[in-house]
Order: sequence, then C-alpha cells, then structure tokens
Amino acid sequence: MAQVQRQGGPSGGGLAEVIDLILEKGIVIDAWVKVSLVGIEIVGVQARVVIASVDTYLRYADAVGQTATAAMPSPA
Amino acid sequence: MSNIQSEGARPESDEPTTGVYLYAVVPESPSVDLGDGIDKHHVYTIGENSLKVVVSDLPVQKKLRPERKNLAAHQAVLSRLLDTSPAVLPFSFGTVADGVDGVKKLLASHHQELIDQIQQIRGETEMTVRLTYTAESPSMFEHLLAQHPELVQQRDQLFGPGSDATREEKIDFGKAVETAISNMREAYGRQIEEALAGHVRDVKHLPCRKDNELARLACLVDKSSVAGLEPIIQEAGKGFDDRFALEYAGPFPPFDFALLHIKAPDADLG
Repeated sequence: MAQVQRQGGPSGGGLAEVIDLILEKGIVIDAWVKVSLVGIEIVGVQARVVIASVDTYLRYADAVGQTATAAMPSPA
Repeated sequence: MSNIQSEGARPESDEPTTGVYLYAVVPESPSVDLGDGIDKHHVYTIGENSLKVVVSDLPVQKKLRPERKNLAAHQAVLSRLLDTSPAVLPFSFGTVADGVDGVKKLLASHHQELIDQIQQIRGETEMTVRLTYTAESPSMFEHLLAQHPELVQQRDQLFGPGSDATREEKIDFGKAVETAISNMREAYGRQIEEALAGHVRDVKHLPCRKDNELARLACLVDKSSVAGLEPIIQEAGKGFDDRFALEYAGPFPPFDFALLHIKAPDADLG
C-alpha cells in the first residue's frame, strides 16, 4: 500500500502547502485596467508548471534512454 | 516583480493614499476579531448586506513582496476566516485597492458574480491530494515502460548498442513518452477521484509539476466531511503499492474553486 500522509499540521496545513494556492489561485483583479485598484504582479510563478515542449521531449527521451543502459546485461 | 499603479486616475484629494489590502469576500461580518494582517495592520471588513470584503490598511506606495512574512500573514487571516465564516472567497496574494471606495465599487460592479460564487462555496473547503512515485528502483520511467512494450522496443532501437539517434528521432520518441505519461496521470487521477466519489462535492485535476508527480487533485469538501475524508484517503492509498505516496493537505479556503478574474472598477475614467 502507498504511504499515505498529511502535509502540514492537522489544523489546516502549513504555509508551504498553501503558498502555491495563495500565489496562483483565488480572485484576481485585472491589473491592466484597474483605476482604483492596484494589482501586484507576481512573476515567475507560472514557470514552475511543467509544460510539454521540445526540451521536455528530449529530457524524457534521455531519461528513458538511460533505463536501457541500466537494463542491459553487463559484459561478461 | 512590478508594482503597477495607474497615474492620474485618482480622485482629487489631499488625503494621503491609504491602500486597502484584500484577503477575501465573505457573506457576513465575522463574529470574532480577526486580529492583525499584513504589516500588522488590523483586519476589518468593508461592505453592506450580503457581501463583505475582509481587508487591512496598507500604504499603496508600499512594495509588497511575496516573502514568507507576508504570505504567512495572508494565510493566517484566511485560516481564521475559514474557522468562523460560512463561506470564504479568497483573493490572490497581493491584491491592493487604493481606498475603501474602490472596494465598494468593486462589490457594486460585481455583486451578482460574487454572490453566485459565494453560494457555490458556502460551507465548503478545499483539500488537496497528491500522488507521487517515490521508488528509486524501479524508477518512474521503468514503471512506465513496464506498461508499454512498444516504448521498450523503440527505446532499444534508438539507444541500443551501435545506434545513434538523431535529435528528431529523440523528439518523436519523447513525445510518445510524454503521451504515455499523460495517459498514466489521467488514469491515476481518475482512480483517486473514483475512490473519493461521494465524499467530495467537486474535483479539479491540476497539472503535475514534477516528473514523479502523477496526480494532483483539488477537492471541494463540505466542512462537516473533512474529518471523514481522512479514512477515505487512507483507503484510496490501498489502491497503490509502496512505490507510491499519497499526500493530502488542507482544509484551505476553496482557492481552486474561486477562479474569478475580474476587472477593477473603472467608472471614473469615463
């Protein structure tokens, strides 16, 4: 059976677990058309999502390629 | 990070610009004192009737960075709200209005939208569940290959002794691997969702962010069902062997179910 565990405290999760939510989710006020509201842009957050790209494909290919080396019988 | 402010659009006034930091929209004023928020400013509410915005003062000139102290203060206010309010519609970190009037305008111009969202999340919280592949051997990729003999065959052609794969061949192969990983993630996500069915109100599948992360679910859960969900998650863990870890966290305000993207009120500009 998989190890099952709670992250953070039982009282509702530690800061680490909730940071992504606070930064990326929730109501967003459009900063570009605001007049009486000032939005503060957090940059660099989206970059953490793994986006499929040529780099990803090459990385996957190499990662799987390495399993071949591992699986190959060592020369006698 | 940039601090974007519109110039020249402020109402004419000699008063210093006291900004208002926004935490959440709630249907009624909290019955308890919410203590202090960002920069140790006291937390209060703005609004009438069925919609209140939970805020604290903050000079608009102040640069607010996503540093631990500020994130912790934001989270602490939300956490206290979650314990005491029937519905908490959270704002994303770093939302600052340049005055009480701006907040009132926001409420007025998006009244129905906000009411609808509040209704949807009334009595609900969010729990997140995450499946990761933790074994080093066999690795996650070996685990994947075990289910895909065709990938093993392609791998041996491309990477076997004496072969010299071109970049294009590698990209094509990587795409096939990516598809297989996506399908595996989808299947595991569904398996967890099915195991939780009947105990959660709604489920969102979130993108995985690491190679060995195989499922990430945001679950909308009745406050009264949170305690009962833990044994269900334990049970769901039995569907996976010891090469996997199933982690869960929460309850949080229902961030993943409050994805309103609204325009700031701009009535003054004409």
